[in-house]
Amino acid sequence: MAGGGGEGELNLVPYLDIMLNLIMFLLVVTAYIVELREAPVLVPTLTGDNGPGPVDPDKKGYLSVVVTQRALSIASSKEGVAPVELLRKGGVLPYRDLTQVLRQFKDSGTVEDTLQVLADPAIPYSEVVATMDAARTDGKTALFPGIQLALALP
Amino acid sequence: MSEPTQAELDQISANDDEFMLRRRRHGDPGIVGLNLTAMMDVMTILLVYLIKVFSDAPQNITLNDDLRPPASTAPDNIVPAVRVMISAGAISVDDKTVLQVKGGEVVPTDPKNKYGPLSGALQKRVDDIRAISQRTHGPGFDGILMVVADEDTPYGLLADVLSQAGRAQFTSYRLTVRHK
Repeated sequence: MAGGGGEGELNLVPYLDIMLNLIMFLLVVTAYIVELREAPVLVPTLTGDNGPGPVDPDKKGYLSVVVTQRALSIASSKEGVAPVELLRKGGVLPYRDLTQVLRQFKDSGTVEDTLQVLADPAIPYSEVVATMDAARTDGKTALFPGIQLALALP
Repeated sequence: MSEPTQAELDQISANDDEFMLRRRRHGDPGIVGLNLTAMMDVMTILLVYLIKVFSDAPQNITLNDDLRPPASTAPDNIVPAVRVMISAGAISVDDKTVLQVKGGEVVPTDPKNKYGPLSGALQKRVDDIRAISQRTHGPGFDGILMVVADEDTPYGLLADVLSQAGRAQFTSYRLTVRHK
């Protein structure tokens, strides 16, 4: 070490400088890291097995939720089940009401675990994702873990 | 607070001298240099932790005002896959812009085949993955598509993109969201 004593000690100061700069850089960068997750979705298959076919009254029905500019509409493929319409409140879709209605359907035991979500083409993606969130779980237990995204309104 | 008098200062100085004298008598050399070892330990642990956090961040997705995925309670972690990004201004496949978007609609380069560049890019990506896996005897094409879309993207545009991906033989879609 230039001008240092005879003990030959390692000069840690430059190393500390680098470490300090690195830590500051990483601290700043990690503050901007947004935690991302994934929502898996199913899409309709083109195998030809999904045709309407003869209606079996004992078979469970499929639920579908349609997101429109006006409301959320819930309908079952099972005969005799009346569709439910939840109107927007102050421009916001009633996601909590949707969860409650879906819970009732689920508890009735007449519907499959897969739910179909459809939306008007002008609906923002965030509202579709929020609808999927409301249908996936009620905060305590799972409702419809399998969500099928329909690509066009019927 | 009043300033100390000369007598008080003399007393403090005498006390200090006595203290140093006592230390020397007990063989204590006093502070001769700052011990940096403990500080180095702390900094190294902090550095390793931060590097770990940084490396755990999902695939390099740069979010900005044009690309802000919606917030969701979806619990799944991100799986690396072919990535389609739909921002307010463009659609890109694995960071390569293939289509321009304006006002939630695609700006067509070929009016007859509006989504031609997108389906071409997706098909090329699938072919590349298949060719690489054949050569390297790797796991092959898994059909997973990671969709990173801006929260204001109209559902019609998203559905069109997914429909094009379906034609390119993608079978499993995973929507990337911000963790709520």
